[in-house]
Amino acid sequence: MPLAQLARLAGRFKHRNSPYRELFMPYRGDEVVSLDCETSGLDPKTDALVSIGAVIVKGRSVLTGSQLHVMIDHGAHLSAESIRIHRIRKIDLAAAQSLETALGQLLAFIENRPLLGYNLAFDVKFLNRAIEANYGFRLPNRQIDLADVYRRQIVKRQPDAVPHLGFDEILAELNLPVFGRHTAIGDAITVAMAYVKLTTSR
Amino acid sequence: MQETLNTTLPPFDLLTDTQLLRIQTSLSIEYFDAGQSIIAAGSEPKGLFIIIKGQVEEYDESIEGDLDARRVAQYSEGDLFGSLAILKGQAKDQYVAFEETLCHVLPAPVFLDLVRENPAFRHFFHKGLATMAKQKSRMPGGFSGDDFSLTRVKDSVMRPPLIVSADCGLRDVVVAMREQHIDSALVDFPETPGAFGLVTGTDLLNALALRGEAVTTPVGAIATRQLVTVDAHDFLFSALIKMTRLHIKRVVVMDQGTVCGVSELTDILSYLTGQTHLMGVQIEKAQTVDELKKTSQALNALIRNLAAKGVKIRFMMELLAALNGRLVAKLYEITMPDEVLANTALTVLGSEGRWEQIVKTDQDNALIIADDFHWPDAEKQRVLTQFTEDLIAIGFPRCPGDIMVSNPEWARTISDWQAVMGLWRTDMTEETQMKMAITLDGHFVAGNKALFSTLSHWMQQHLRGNDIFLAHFAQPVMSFAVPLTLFGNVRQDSAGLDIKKGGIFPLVHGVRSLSLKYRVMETNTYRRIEALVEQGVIHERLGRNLESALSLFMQLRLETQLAQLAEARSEDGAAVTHNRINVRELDRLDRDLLREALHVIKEFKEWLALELHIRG
Repeated sequence: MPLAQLARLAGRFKHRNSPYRELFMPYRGDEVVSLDCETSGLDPKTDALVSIGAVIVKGRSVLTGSQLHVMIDHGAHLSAESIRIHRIRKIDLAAAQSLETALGQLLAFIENRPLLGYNLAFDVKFLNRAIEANYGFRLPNRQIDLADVYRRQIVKRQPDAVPHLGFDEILAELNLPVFGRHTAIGDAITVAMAYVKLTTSR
Repeated sequence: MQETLNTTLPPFDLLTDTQLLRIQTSLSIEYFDAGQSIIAAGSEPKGLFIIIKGQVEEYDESIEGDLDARRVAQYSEGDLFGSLAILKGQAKDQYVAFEETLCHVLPAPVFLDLVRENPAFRHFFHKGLATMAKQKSRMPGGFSGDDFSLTRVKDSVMRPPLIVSADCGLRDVVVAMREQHIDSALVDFPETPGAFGLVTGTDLLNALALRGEAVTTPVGAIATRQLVTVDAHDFLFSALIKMTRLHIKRVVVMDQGTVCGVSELTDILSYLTGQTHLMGVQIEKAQTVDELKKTSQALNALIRNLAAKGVKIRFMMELLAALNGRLVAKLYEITMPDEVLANTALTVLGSEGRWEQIVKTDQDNALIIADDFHWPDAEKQRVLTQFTEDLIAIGFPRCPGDIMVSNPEWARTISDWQAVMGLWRTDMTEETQMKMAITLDGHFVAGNKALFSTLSHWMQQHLRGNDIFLAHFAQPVMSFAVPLTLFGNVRQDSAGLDIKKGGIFPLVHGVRSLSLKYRVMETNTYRRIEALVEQGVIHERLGRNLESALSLFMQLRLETQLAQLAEARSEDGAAVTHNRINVRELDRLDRDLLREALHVIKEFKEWLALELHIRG
């Protein structure tokens, strides 16, 4: 995607003196970061990030020992709807970080690795809004959506199939165990396992 | 932190919080395709693998043959593998994903650190190491204590040695041995101080009685100069194993290079069994049914004790068979009039006859009556019914199949037995087949042994194998499927796995059928297997495998039986109502061993079907 490359190049120049300049360097390794955010609603303009989970994938391994899981404390802001889905109550946020600290930890964790997620654009939209406000740039990392990887694999194997791209359907199809569904880190690990299986399976 | 590994399960529950954190922060999850190698033989494994989902098989590459022949073990959800290879620094076997598999991987350096730091954790894997290395000849682990495995020779059963000079005459040596109640003497050769010879009671007997040596012959002439020794600080069981392996009855105990004592097999055995000898004495002394009942009740406590000491199951079976046999015999002797004793032979059948019943679960017995014995029916029935009731009273539960002397069908004259067995042989219904099978395991316990021998010879003469009969007879071996899943995993339904149907019966009955075909006179399954191996009927490897499979099944069954007794708070075998084991409650090693043992049964059945022309 030349546009994204161009944006990255521009970012590299623009942030050449920033402490985050490494983010804009091209990635040469074999790792990706599986990422998932829980939010208080669906609208990035009005709703807030509640927690961020990320885990490193290296080759066929999901490095569950190297994970990031931060809760974000916004003071107020948790809607009843989001509590119902994520089961994160305000009381659970007692040990939470401020948004600024959480973002700093995230950027340090992901470095310039490609990002992986299910419907990743949604999470990145939330993150970019916050990062842009705090740091003045958007995440330059390459983005991999699990649904795309899955669709490509299915089409390759069964050209006539119309794949169901729902998260639960993908998980069911891949027959994977689930750790902590509906927590950011749980979903990040699940997505990571799905990705490893899709990319290493013959 | 999202914890992906359940660390409340063994062995991780042995770790401290700090150690657990180390684990959680170093773990990864790996995915393997079906057929993909996880650890290559000869390689250094990257870590300890814990299966999240899937199946892994371990192959020994040094074995010739197809995959089935090379398969050493199978692992499934929750199982660990690779620990042995990490500890040794190199994998001996090849580990392959049998189906798509997800594993946790604990990096080898972290695992090694934890093994170094945490003794309980280390013990878990070392126990595993020893057991896995000896998979085929397991010394079963105890239920509760490992007091036996930790006992050292010098603290337990060492006697001070009797030392005689090499020029001492044989008669004097015998006198000295008698005085000291010891069956061996160390012989001191003046020309080699400190290097002793050994002379045993048997040596003396052979010299004096067989070779006609003079009673004045110097003992030095017949002493063995090659001593088998153990160190005073060795574990008792290593002394026992040494004796078992070398077929010797005593070892000389050394402490820092000098002789400090002698350890005799009989002493070790009575040390192990505690009250065993006492119990034998009690049985012999008993004069009333009540006295026998007390001794009988104490037997289950003895079993518990032996099991806790980790005594080998086969030894336990023989010991308990001997004690139970004496109990039954003694009861018969004290309750029957002399003329009945002289004209009948009491026989125990089935598992009792095979010496394979540990917990008294039911009585199977029969009576052989002399043809010319005049015994009025009413009197006979009264006496035999009373005997059955007395047996129940002293703790042998009633046989649900009514195979007891109180049933006239199981108390017959010799010619009557011959006639009915002739019928059984041609009848070939399932019922008569089972009766035949039970009878074939018969073992004499009391009365007139000549009657038993007569009938037993007749059976060997007349029941020998005609192939059609044998094929029918062995058929029930096939009637229960081996509880293995399509993937070779242990299968159980909600009620657990019936170890009798799934494992013990096919093995015992298969061996019994072969014994009939090849005229093996033994009744004990182990001895039958040994005899069949000796005759070249079954391959030695299969023989060894069958023996260890049987031991394992017996061990697992004993555990469930003892648990049932404990639950019923009863010393009464009637409380044992089932033979089911819950595979999920087994520790990982037992589960692996069980899986392997069931594969042995499967292999045996397939081989047997061909050998005896049984329809599958």
